[in-house]
Amino acid sequence: MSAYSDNNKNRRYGSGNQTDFEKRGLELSALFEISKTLNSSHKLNFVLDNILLVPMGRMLISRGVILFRNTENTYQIRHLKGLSKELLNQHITFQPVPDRPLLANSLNDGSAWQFFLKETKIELLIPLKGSMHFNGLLGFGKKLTGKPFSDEEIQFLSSLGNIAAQSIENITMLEKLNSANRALDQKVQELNTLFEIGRELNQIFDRPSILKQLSYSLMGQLLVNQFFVALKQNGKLRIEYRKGSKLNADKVKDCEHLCASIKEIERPLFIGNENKYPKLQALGIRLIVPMIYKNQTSGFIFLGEKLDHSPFSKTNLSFLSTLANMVIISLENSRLIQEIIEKKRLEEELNLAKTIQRQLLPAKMPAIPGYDIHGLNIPSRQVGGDYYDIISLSEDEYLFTIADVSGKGMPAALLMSNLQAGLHSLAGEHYKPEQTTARLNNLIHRNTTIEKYITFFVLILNTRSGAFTYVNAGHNPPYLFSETDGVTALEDGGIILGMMPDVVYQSGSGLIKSGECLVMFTDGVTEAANANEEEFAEGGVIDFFKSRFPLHSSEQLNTLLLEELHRFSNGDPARADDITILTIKALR
Amino acid sequence: MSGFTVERSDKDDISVLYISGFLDLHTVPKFEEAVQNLVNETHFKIIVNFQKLDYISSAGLGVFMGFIEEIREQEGDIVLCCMSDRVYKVFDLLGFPALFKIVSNEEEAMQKFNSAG
Repeated sequence: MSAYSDNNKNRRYGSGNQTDFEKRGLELSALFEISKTLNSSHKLNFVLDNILLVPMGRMLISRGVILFRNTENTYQIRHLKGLSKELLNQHITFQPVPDRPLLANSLNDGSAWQFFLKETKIELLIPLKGSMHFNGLLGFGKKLTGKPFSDEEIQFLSSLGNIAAQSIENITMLEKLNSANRALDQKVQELNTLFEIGRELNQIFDRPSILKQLSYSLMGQLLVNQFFVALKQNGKLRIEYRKGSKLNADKVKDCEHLCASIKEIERPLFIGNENKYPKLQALGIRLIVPMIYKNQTSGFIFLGEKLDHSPFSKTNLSFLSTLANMVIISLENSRLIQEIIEKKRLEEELNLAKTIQRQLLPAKMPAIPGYDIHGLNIPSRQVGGDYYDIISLSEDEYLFTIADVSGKGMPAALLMSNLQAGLHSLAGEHYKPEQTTARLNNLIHRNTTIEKYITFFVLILNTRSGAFTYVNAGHNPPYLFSETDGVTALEDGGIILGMMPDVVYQSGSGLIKSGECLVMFTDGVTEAANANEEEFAEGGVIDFFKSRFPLHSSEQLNTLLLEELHRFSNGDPARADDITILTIKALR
Repeated sequence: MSGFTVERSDKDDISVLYISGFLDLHTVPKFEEAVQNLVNETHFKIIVNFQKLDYISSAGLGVFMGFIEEIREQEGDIVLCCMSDRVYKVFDLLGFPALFKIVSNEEEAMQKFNSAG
């Protein structure tokens, strides 16, 4: 230092040693002050401000600039004073890169960077070099005094540059470290969110709650509050969840069709200005995230803009994909569980219906002297509504009935129980069959809707004489088989029960003689179908009984008919409908 | 499972919600209900006091996102105050300070409404 000051005394300052020393002292203390200030701050802008403003103030310089090196020769303008802000962030290529203080007036080869110095009236360039990576340039315009930069001044600015470079390097390193830490913290936060929703999704199985959880996680994690979720069900895309004031129900509904046209996408799709879905874009949608289940796109999340208008980052996208797939798995699981529960419920209901039906049918055949009677009912899986019954009216009179209630399962069983109760209470009143039928018709009509009805056959037999009267309300005609008189269909009656009130029914009558056989059955018998979808039909029933009725008991006939139906339909004939057969043979 | 509670106290036309415990996906419905009740009663000037809140997950922040637009459309706002550093860090990481007023004490939060009004 002393050599330096010796060297320079009297040269520029033209004053005595005393003044010279004072100046040197002042410079050193200024450098010391700056060094302290720069190192006390972690804010880059504050440091850059100081690096420019301190010398500008001390030396009355009107403009200054700081450039950071980007690549080998290219520098970017990072900070400036006394120059147009438009220059900020501009890139300038230096060839060669100055490695020591450089005065612009010493240059003149017309290259771009020299032109830049001329334009901006930067007269002095000082290289900034940190101990590790940082490289930059410090530039100053001319002094307001008009005097050129002295060696001492250049020396001072170089020293300042060294201190500044180290400061900048420390701060940029710190900033890098901070931003890496922050990115890591954000990643951890994302993972926490995924972990949290994963844990929560394991505990809930109803769809609305699952979608609600998705909604909270999306909004909190990504600052998005405009979105909707569309899910495929039975091949159709339906909008299942919607959030945000800009996405009103009608507008979103309007897009349902359009959304359905989006085919398989493997990863999130941005909706920019030029895209295939201008309508979605107009709705504010910016991103479509596929929900992938077992390699199939099973739904989409349609996302609007973030509330802070920032773009979706790469980690946002991978977060979204993971979240979407976790949620779809949970939704699918909930669907499967619902299906199992529903199936279980249906099965229980069917079992209940089956029990009701069984309890409405006669537990055993009454022993009627002179008659061989057998009833048989095979309920189908879905439980149709077949009903038959035998009610004793007096010592010599029995009521036989067979009916088929519309529908299946529990509703059919309940209607059937209605019919059974009505019939049993009417049976005590000694009505004629047409009166009983008319009253049952009114009862059923009052208590059911129009699509519920019953085909019904009732017959009252005088067991002593074999004379009978009957009413057929739209049921398959029973047949009376006789070796002498052939086959008679019992068809007299009227329309099915429950269609309209106050119907007048006709009755028919007949006589069953010794050895003759009367067969009542439901459409489960005639509509049993073979592989060619041909039905067993009335002809089948007639042919079957015609040849066999004299040979077998009622029970044998019924059992043989069932076997015949099995053969005919090559499997379970009661697949589609209940099968009911009620056979009466006169023995006297 | 750690608990979560929310208590309400009205000061003139400003409602303060004091939340405590853990606000995560599990407890979020409880908090959402409290805010929804305020909205239903057209109380749109809301302060949420975080002093006794130990933990918040992203889903907890989702509740604020879900209401803020509706509340601001009604000339109201949600001002957040008294967060611990740990809780504030989550808000900061997710970019909430740019969108919500977050202040250090309740008086300051009150002033946000009074100066705005």
